[in-house]
Amino acid sequence: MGKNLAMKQARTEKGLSQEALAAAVGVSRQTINAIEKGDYNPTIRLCISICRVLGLTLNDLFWDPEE
Amino acid sequence: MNETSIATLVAWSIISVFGIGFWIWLTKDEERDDLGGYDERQLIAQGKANKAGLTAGLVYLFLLQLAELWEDFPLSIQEVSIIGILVMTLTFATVAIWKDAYIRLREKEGSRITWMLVWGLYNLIMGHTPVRLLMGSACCYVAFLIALRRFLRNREEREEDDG
Repeated sequence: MGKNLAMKQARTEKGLSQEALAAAVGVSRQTINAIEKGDYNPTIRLCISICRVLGLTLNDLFWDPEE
Repeated sequence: MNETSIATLVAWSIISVFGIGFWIWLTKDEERDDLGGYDERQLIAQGKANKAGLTAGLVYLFLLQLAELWEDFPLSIQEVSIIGILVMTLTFATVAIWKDAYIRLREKEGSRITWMLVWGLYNLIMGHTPVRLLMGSACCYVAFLIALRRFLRNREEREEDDG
């Protein structure tokens, strides 16, 4: 699993730190970091929560057409 | 240590495992609703840590069986039991801490380190029995490991920010 650069970019564009996004979706900062680094594959429930906070769709953040 | 002692130890270990399992089952739903609980990644990591702890416990019990061959075994049944519990819990704690799954979401690492260190040092200084010295060492080890993990994580974060 590669790095989730789309999520990192969307988060920084929204002006959110990993800590702030983590607090908004109810997980630890390490979990957000692990998702962005591609070390952890989140559940669909967490993916949806992240999408809602960042105002994007699952396709935008978690679908890599090149994979 | 005779056969009866080992049989008693194994029986109590099995009863303890079932007891703890039953308690976890009873409090499971309550913990999930708790805002100070763990997130999904932490729960998965804790599952792996639990497996590691159980495996370590089984290896320990196996080695204990070999100790039967040792005449005049130097440890008492109490010491053997405490060491067994420490082997399992410290294996769990080591894996969980390293995977950032030991500290609850809204829990402060600093306060956990402080309490562990205070309790550990108290037992090391005031404890004159091997059991208390073991407990003290275990608490200090956990405090040190949490602090080390925190230090390494902070360094990784700084490097990421710079990069």
